[in-house]
Formats: sequence, structure tokens, C-alpha cells
Amino acid sequence: MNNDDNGDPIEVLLREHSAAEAPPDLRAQVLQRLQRGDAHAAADALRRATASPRRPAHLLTAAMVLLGIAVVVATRWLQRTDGANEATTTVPSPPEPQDPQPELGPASFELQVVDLHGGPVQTFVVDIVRANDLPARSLGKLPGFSPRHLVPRDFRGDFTTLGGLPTGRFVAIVTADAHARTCSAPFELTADAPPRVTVKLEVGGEVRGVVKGAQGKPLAGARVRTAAPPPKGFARNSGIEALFAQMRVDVLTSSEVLTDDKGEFRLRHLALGNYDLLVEHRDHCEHVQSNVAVVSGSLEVPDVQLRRGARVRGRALDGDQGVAGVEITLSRGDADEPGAATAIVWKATSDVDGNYELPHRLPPGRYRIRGMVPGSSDDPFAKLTAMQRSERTVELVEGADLVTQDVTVGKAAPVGKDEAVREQVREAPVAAPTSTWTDVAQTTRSGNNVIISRKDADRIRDQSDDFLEQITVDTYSGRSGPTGLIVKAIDARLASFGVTAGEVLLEINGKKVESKAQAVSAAKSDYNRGVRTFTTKWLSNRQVIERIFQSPPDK
Amino acid sequence: MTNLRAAEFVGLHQHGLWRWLRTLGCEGAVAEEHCQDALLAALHHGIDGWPAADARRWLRFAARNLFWMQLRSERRRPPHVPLTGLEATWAAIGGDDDGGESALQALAGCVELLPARERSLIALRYEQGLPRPAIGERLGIGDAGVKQALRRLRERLRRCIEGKLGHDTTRATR
Repeated sequence: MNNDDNGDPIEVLLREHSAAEAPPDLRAQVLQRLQRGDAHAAADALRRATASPRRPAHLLTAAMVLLGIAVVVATRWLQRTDGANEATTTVPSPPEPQDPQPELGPASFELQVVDLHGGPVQTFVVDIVRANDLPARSLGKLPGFSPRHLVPRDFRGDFTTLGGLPTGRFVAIVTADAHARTCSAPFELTADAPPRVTVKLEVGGEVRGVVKGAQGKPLAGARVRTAAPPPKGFARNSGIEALFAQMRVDVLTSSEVLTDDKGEFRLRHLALGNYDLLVEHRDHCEHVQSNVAVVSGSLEVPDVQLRRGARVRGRALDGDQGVAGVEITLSRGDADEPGAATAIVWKATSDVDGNYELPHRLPPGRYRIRGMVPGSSDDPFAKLTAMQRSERTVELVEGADLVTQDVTVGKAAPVGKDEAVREQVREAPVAAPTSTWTDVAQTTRSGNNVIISRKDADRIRDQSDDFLEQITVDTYSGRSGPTGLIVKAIDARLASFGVTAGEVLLEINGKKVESKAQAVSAAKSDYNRGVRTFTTKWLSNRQVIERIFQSPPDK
Repeated sequence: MTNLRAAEFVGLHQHGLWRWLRTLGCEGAVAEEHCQDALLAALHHGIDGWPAADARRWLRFAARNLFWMQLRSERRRPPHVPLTGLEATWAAIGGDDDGGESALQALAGCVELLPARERSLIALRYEQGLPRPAIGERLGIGDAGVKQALRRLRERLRRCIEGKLGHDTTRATR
């Protein structure tokens, strides 16, 4: 910028308008530096910059410092004179232990880390892991050893000594800036002479791509990160995966960036291997790109198009009361669904009023939702049973933005699937899940609970054909898969049943219905077994809602 | 502090901060560094919890000081710019409101209203990046003429932007 142009923001805007220059996107750099702990240094630099640079203050400061030094020297000299009889040998103080760790054994080794060109690297984190013979070439964590952060002052020359280690066969894993996580060749540690180990850092591979939003436009600010794939057959974020993660030695590079204004991302210096690529954005569903094989060089992954999906929230209830601290778990409902192999378990915890909201939006599909009250029982089997009892199915349909699903935990939990099966076997009446019938003159609706009057119930039972003629239905098949029975028209006399034209009946007491005959058959079958509570699921205004019809008990 | 929150904070302020530093005469690459440092310092001090306008002013002050410190360390003088007037102009084009985003949009409309000769001046100077003598040759005027034409052009655009944004620099300056 020319000097005569300084001081005019219009000049800056004109350059930007003419595309001569553009403000940079600094989010990724700032976040990386923030994670590296640079914020403190930046604040310190700013403090120095903000301090007045006026010369008199400098002189005063210098004078004060000199005075301080003089006082300290004089005091020391006097102390030395007073204690002349004592042996006062000045010995260099040993370097402070940077990372005190318990002694695990008598062995040690000398470590040197160099970059690609053989230059010394003396700021890095090193982890020491066991090189196991069985399974072949596997690595195991070294209990009691936590990764050490080394800085240049820990080095004497090119090498640093790592001691207090047990004997055996080990591998050093080095993590340094601007390099991929790098493993040393296996080395043997004995109580005798420490071996010298040199680790040459690898540059690693690079993954780049573009993230697009639901509308197909590049999406800025999406978080893209690498993660090790979960164990085969287990869902991400599940308890088993967490257990495996604790045991696993991390040889892959954990890295994350935000997409820029063009939706582009670039993850650099990744250790070679197979990764899962996780893409998150608060207005979209989480996306997992599995088995991204990182090799030397740059790998461009196909464009990632995120789905808008729906938010899921609700309440954890015990009866009518909200329950705080309930861990809500949501997972894919069908194992054979596409993507179920790399499925994620989503979790949330209910607040003091029992309200919960899952942190991510979820794509359309069928999910299982469960609730667990922490500390409700010491018996893990009882806990599991309680979780299973609270299990419900949630159907997220295409286009839905918000789905509300309450989860009943504790004593009032509805009868679970297994118990329902047992009840069927015994041919005994199934207990009413939630509401009870009260004697009403006319069918009455309260929210999504409908109390059917005895008169209407008799009519439905004895003159079912007449009743069914008042409702016109047709088979419905949604774009994203849900099928059911759409209400084309309904007689105004049935307004108190709460059903309106355009709504789609999906389930009756957990049984999917896809035709009028199926619906009648499902309802009749349950009714003949003594069931008087009909829990139905409807697709209404792009949301799945539950409606309970309570029929009167037998006289 | 979550990464998402930090990213939002950076995203909200980075462009305005960079424009402010460029306005002060800071070179592009250096402005990037000062922006990063100012934003990191702000995150360190919890400025991301402040109202956006206050945070913007804090950042502007911090970035200016970082820039001046750099100039001092290089034994250079800060550009001779009357800071009060500069801050007033910055405020007048909405720099403290949205970092100059709306002014940039208003500028596009204002450029369209300019006569052809002035639009070509913009193209030569800012799109093609020609030095003043080369522009003078194309337009058939001297170096001083180009300088004056550019100054008049910027002044005209500033008034237009302020008109579109409903600000008044004169009032703001007072």
C-alpha cells in the first residue's frame, strides 16, 4: 500500500471490491495456535505492545533493575562474609525435572529426533510403548508411563536421555509440529548400557476435499477431523469403542481443521494409515467418511455433502416428572440400513428439568432411543434391563426439522419389546403403558391422549364397517422410506379422535401398518387379546407423533 | 471455551480486523499475523464473551498496538495518519458495526453509479494494479492528476457509502 493511500478505508474496500486482495480466513490457524497454547504468548506480546514505550519509563525501569541487581549482589556478598567458616561451594543446580514420573525400572535410552533433512528437532512429545511379539508387531501401552513433552533444554547435544523405564522391547512414538506422528524402529532396553535411538520424522500424507451443505453449496466453518476407525462391528462413541480406545496405542495423527469460505479443507501431516474422516457442522448432520487410506502425497476425497437432518429433543420422565442426569442414547434402528456398519451412537444427558437435546442433527431413518439413570442400581444386569425397558423407536422423516421424543425411565417405563413377546406367548392381556380410561359421555381428547367413550367403542366394535366408512385412507410411501396409511378424508363427527386429513398412520402398538386391512387386523388382534390401550404413531406435519387411544375396559 | 465458539468469534471479527490493519497501512501478510495474535489474545482474556461491538473496539486497539510495536522493533515510524480522523471515518462506514461488510456491499452499488472514466480509473488502479505514471499515460494526464483523481474518487465513494449506510462522517468527526 502506498504511503499516500494510508488512512483511507475506502482504499482497502476498493482493493477488495476489485478482487485485488481479500481478507484471509484465519479460523483454522487461530484454532491450531489456540490448541498449541499460543494464546498466552499472544496475550503477553499484546501486554508488551500496550505498555508505553516512552523513553523516561525505559530509563526508570533500567535504573530500577540495576538497583535491584546491586542490592542482591550486596546481600549475597554480606551473607558470604558472615558465613566464612562454612564450606560454601557453588555448584551448578541440577536441571529441574520437567516431567516427574514414577520410576518404572532401571533402564534408559538416549533419543535423538531429526527432521526429513536430518536437522535436529528438540520440541516434541514422546510416548514409549511396548513392542509385543504376540500378536505379531502389535503395540501395547506401558502402564505408568505418560507421554513426555520435551524442549531443547532437556537435550545435551543432539540426544536426550529418557530413564526410569522397565526392560524389554519398546517403540518410541514422536509427535512434533509440522510432521506426522512417527514411530521409531523397535529397540531393546536392558539394565546395561543405554541404546541410542534416532527417530527421523515423517512428513506424512495429506487429505483434502470440499464440504457442501444440504443445498449443495460450499459450506464454511465445518469441522473436519481425523479419527481412528472404531473396532470392527462396534458403533462409534459406544462404550465398547471407548474401552478399546483406552487400550489402543494411537499411531495415527489426530488432526482437525475448519473449512474455509470455499468449503475446502486440508489436513496435513497425517501418519500413513486408515482413518475415519468426521465432518461436523452445527446446522447439519454429522458425516463419517470411513476407511480413508492416507498414503504419501495428497489425497483428494470426494466432495462431502452434509444432510440437514433433524434435531431430536425431549424429556426424560418418570411418570409425569422430569428426571435429571439421565443418559440418553440414540442409535441406528436397523442393522441392515446403509451406513449402519459405521454407525454412531449419539448421547445426551437430561438437565435439571429432565430436558435433553442431542448435540448433533440426525439424518432421516429409524433409531432406537434409550435412557439410563446413573447410579440407579449397582447391578449391571438391572441397569441393562432398565435401559431396555425404556427403549423406544424414533422415526425421523425427510424434511423434519425438530422431533420431540420423551423417554420414560424408572418404574413407569413402558413394557419393553421382550416382555411384550412373552406376554403374547402367554396370551394374557398386555398392561396399559401410560394412560387409563375414565368414563366419559363422549370421546374426549387431551393432547395426544384420546379417551374413547363406551358408546363409540361399542360402535367401533359392533358396526366397524360403518365406522370405517367415515374415514377414507390410502397406502402411503414416503421418499425416505416410511410407509403407512394416509388419511385422505375424515368425517367431522370423528373430530374428537384428533385425527386430521393428511396425517399418516405408521404403527399400531408397535406394528407397522401399510394397508387398511393390516390396520384393522392389528387393532382387532390386540383388542381380542384384551388390549385396550392403542399406542399409535403418526406422521403429522413432517413430524412423527404418538397418539394413545384408550378404549373402555370390559364391563 | 469450545473450538466452535472460538471459531465463531474469529469468524465474526477477522475480516474487520484485517481491514482495519490494512487501513493503518499494515502490509497484507503482516496484517494476518497481527490479526491472529490479537484474536488469540482476545480469546485468552475472554473477550469473546463481550458484546460484539465492544469486542470489536478492543480488537482494533490491540491490533493497532501490535502493529505499532512491530514498527518500533523495525525502527520504523507509524504511518503519519491522524488517528482520530481515521477512527471517525472507520466508524462512519460502519467498521465498528460489522467490520466494513455492509460498506463493501454499498461500495459495489456506488461503483456502478460512477461515470465510465472513473470506473476505468478503478479498473486500472485496483484491478490491474498499474502505477500512477502508467495510468496517467493511458488517461492522458500527469502523475499529480492521477493522484488527485484517485483522491476525488475515494472521497466521492466515501460520501456515497455513507449515504447508503445513513452515516455522516462530519457529524461523527465532531
